[in-house]
Amino acid sequence: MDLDYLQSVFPELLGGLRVTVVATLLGAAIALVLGLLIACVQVFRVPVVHQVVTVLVLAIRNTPLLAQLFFMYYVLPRYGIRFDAFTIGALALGLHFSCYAAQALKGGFLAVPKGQWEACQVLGLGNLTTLRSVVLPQALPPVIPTLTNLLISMFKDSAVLYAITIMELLGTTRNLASTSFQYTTLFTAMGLMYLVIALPASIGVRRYERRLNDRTVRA
Amino acid sequence: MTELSGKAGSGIAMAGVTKQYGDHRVLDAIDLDVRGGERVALIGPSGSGKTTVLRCIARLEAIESGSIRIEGHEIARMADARSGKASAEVAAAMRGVGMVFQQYNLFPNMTVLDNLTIAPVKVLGVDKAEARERAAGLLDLVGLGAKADAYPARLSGGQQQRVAIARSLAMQPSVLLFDEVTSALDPELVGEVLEVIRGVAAQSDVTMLIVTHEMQFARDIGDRVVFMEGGSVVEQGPPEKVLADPENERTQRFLRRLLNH
Amino acid sequence: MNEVVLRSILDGVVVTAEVVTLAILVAAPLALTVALARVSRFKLVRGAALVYVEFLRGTSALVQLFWVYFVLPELGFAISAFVAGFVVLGVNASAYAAEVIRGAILAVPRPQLEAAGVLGLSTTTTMSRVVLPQAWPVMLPALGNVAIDVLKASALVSLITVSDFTREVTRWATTGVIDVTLAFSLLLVGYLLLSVPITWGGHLLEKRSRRHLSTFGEG
Ligand SMILES: Nc1ncnc2c1ncn2[C@@H]1O[C@H](COP(=O)(O)OP(=O)(O)O)[C@@H](O)[C@H]1O
Ligand SMILES: [Mg+2]
Repeated sequence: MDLDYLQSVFPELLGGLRVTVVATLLGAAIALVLGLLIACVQVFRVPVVHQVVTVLVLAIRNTPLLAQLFFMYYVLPRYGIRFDAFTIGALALGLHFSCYAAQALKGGFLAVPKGQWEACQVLGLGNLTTLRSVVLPQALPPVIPTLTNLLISMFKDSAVLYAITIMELLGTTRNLASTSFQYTTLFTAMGLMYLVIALPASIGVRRYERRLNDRTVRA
Repeated sequence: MTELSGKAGSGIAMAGVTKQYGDHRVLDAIDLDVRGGERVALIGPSGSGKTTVLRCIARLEAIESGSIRIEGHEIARMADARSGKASAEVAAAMRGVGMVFQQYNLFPNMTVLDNLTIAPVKVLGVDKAEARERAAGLLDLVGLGAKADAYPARLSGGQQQRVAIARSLAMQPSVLLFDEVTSALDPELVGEVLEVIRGVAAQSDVTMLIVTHEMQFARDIGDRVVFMEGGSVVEQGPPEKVLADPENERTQRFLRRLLNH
Repeated sequence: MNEVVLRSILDGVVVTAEVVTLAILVAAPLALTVALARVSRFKLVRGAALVYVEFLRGTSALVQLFWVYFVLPELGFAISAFVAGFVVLGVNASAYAAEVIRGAILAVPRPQLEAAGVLGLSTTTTMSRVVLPQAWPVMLPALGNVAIDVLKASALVSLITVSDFTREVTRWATTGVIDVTLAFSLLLVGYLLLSVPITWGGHLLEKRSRRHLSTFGEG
């Protein structure tokens, strides 16, 4: 490891990390919104849409994020859908992970006792109020660990965005290496940067989960 | 005290209602009328279809055939209808129908007060402050004025069920359905809940259809007792007649078995 | 699409299938070993296994691929892109699979262990004849997901110059030899088809594994 060299390029690596984080957060926002929509469609079994979405989710979950990324990057502009690479990257991340988020959210929805939905219906609360005021507040907390784990996965997997020229952490590292040839220093530093964020985060999630379990066991 | 219920109308009229789960016929062309302001106790063995009757009236279940009218409006959800969604007219009629469940079904994520105000505010468009004031009055009525800011999980089963009753009253219903509201409670908590229902009955002219296994309560509160078995009404009449001197052999058998417990 | 293109894409499919198969073969024994280490009586063994799992799950397969591919040669280990590809994917998957196996082992009811103890069975016999056979059907669905993840991650080897399915399709599409819409649709459909045997295999194993477990009158 060449620490002097590392010090000199560290600001650039941090810049790459920033792009990684922003892409992850943007992707997460998209995944959450889309995931909620998908979960609703599946829980309410909206005719036709429900079947279409189920097939799409299956297809997205069984194909590589990289292939989806290339599809969106190269094919969409052909049909007049033009975004910059960064937006495409965030969209692809969001779309891919929305399928996993949807599954978690669906589980959360279905874990809300049937009587809660029925009480809402008897009180005449509309679908939207039922969802927002009664169901979501009960469905979300138990799936927060799963959603956070997905966020961590997104953070790590966002490295593929470099394949469509986005200068996130991996792209920046590669770029620096292609001129300095300091592979060991650069790639080790990059790996540690991912690790330093992802590891404590996932340990934190597990702690939170254990506390949640303890509480429900005792209650 | 605040007005507890909407105007008593013509009550509930079920005619020829058939309900099936798959091939299993749970309600068999049942006829059941509850006049406006009347209190009817619905009794019968477990599995006879009592809960299903209430759920059909509350539109929680679709029926195969027959008619269900609330205050004269046809509200039945038909199994073969293209959509389970209520029309505006049906939704309006259903606003007058409240239901209290065996398992209370309070919203655990809201305080007691919010449980009471959410429907009036969101559905009836009542002003928030006004809804809270009314809710406070109702909580006093059920003896829980001090618990407005508590969460349901902090309350005993009996207290939760009293809150659930107050919540249904908050919509000023003209029809109230009770489904074995004391069955999930420890024996020592049953009395306080029945007391609250008696109080509501005494202070309002709301129409009540009450499924219960408490025969003494059925006798006290019921203008009429309806005994059902196998998805249809077997016998009905004044409580003292049906409970003390039933005509039908099946009613006699049911009451005998209950006494021997 | 001319014959040269078609042939190279088919060759790519074969490479992808090889990478996935070899990665799974690498992952299986590692995962079992690490899972057993995770439930070991010895604190040191448990700790080492935990570090292995956390370290591998702390960064993405892509970052690990790059590290191995670019850094190992600098440290004196020449390694071909193909070998780096399936080894890294296999080692990476072993961390996830180990956690699945561990969960399934811990889910075996305690009385089963007590019964084995009363019979005087050794730890090894208890594990191999009592615990693992019962844990097997429980872990299979999740292991199937790990295998699908290996297939999805295998596309990443294209980024370290392995001529797999993704690399071949991308090569012809980006040089204008074949239509991009066709190319990337083909890519997604191809992966979907590749996932089918994995899913089926998983279901088949699961069904077989449960055939002695169904109670009287069931199934
Ligand atoms: N969701 C359901 N699916 C199938 N059968 C049901 C369902 N709900 C109730 N039943 C059946 O309908 C019959 C009547 O049930 P219910 O109305 O709950 O009776 P009661 O309230 O008088 O005990 C019972 O035989 C019960 O098993
Ligand atoms: Mg019942």
